[in-house]
Amino acid sequence: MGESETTITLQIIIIGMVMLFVLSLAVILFFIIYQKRLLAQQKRHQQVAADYQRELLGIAIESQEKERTRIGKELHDDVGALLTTTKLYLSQISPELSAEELTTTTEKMRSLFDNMIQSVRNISQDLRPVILEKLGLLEAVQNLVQTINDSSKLNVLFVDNTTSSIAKATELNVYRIIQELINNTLKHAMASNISITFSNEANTLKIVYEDDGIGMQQEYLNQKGIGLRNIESRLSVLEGTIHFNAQKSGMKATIQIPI
Amino acid sequence: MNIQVLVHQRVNINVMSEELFGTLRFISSFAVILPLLIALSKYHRLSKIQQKLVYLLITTLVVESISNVLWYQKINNLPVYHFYSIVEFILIVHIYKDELKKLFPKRFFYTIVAAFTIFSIVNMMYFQSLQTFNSNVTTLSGILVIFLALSYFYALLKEVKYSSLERNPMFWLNAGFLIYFSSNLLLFFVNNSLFQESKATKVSYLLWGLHAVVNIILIIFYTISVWVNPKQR
Repeated sequence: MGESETTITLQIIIIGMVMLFVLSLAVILFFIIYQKRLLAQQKRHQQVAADYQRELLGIAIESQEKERTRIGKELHDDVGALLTTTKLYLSQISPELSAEELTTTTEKMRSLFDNMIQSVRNISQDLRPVILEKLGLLEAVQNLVQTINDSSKLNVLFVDNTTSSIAKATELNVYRIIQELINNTLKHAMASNISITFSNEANTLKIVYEDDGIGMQQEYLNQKGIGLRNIESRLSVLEGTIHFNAQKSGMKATIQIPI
Repeated sequence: MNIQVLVHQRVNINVMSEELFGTLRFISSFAVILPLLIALSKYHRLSKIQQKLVYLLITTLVVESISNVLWYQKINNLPVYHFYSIVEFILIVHIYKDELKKLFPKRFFYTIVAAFTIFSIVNMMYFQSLQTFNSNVTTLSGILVIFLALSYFYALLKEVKYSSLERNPMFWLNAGFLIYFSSNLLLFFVNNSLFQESKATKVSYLLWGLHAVVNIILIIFYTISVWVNPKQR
């Protein structure tokens, strides 16, 4: 190997070594920067998820408090008032009363007791629908639909195309979601028809809820009222999703819940 | 790892570069004492990785001491490195084995260690005798360690939970290995064809001087790796 040839080879090797050194440094630097970016991104995601969970928890607590207030009010205004009235009638009963007066008073008291029993039944029905416990979700929804059809001008159509059953623990949440959607329609939509369809898709329960009211404003969806948040809160427990389809008029929501 | 060329003949040597090379070689041989002392001072607080690194450091110190004694007695010290290459590779794979367990099964590590050992022995017996520099083996080990180092970075990126790198001893160790083995890959590869008959020239002093510098950088990374306190899991 000649002197000049050796020098050239040497130069090539030195340049090669330096280049590989720089390259490995570059790989390490790239890795550090990339990892830092991933770390920041992960922290952001965790923050968003934590915020969302906190919000859902807040909603759950808020709606629970609202429910307690409502029950308290119902007990006070309804059952309480009936009891006070009954007490008044009771105090009127004395040995001096004529048989006719006694019969009238006891009749009134009987009717008051009937009202009270009905009120207590309604409250307990609201707290936990007995029909849901006894006959399951489909019957409970059917019953809910029937009650609405009987009591208002609204016409509700319920179609059940499901082939597989739903876990008992899921039923109450699904029932409450349907209740919330119907409540929303009754309160805000000015609709005359509601259609609820249950079906199975792969391993999910698919619920399509439609009404022909004024439709949901995008603003409402963005702001999310307590009703909608409540639905989301329940769906997050069930790991389900809700999607509001764009409609010219009316409202259409598709809910999917894994079973 | 630190390798010196055996000086049989001293031709054309610039006294300056020889002196500088001597100093660099000496520092690079014994700088490993620094991380070892740190490891000793915090022995009970060392993590698993750091303990495994200590085994490598002790082996390096023993090998460097032997090779330096041989060097001063003008005995060819290359046979030491033939065996050291195998032990070093096994210790490095031992370090990576647990860190890369999500990427490769245990069988993979045993296979590469077995294949590498067989290759080294065959190379020693038939291709590069104990008296020559085992460039085939060092090049192969370089390529394999670079592969493991890059795999480690990949595994870190794939982890679901990211942790701070500064306090991760394995990160520093991995960075040190990557820099050392990739910088010296070319040198290991061409060493024998460039410096035939173990002739030490100005050129070889320069190149192995560069190697000593990179080796010192590796030892700095070893030191940081032993120094940092990983978060207790």
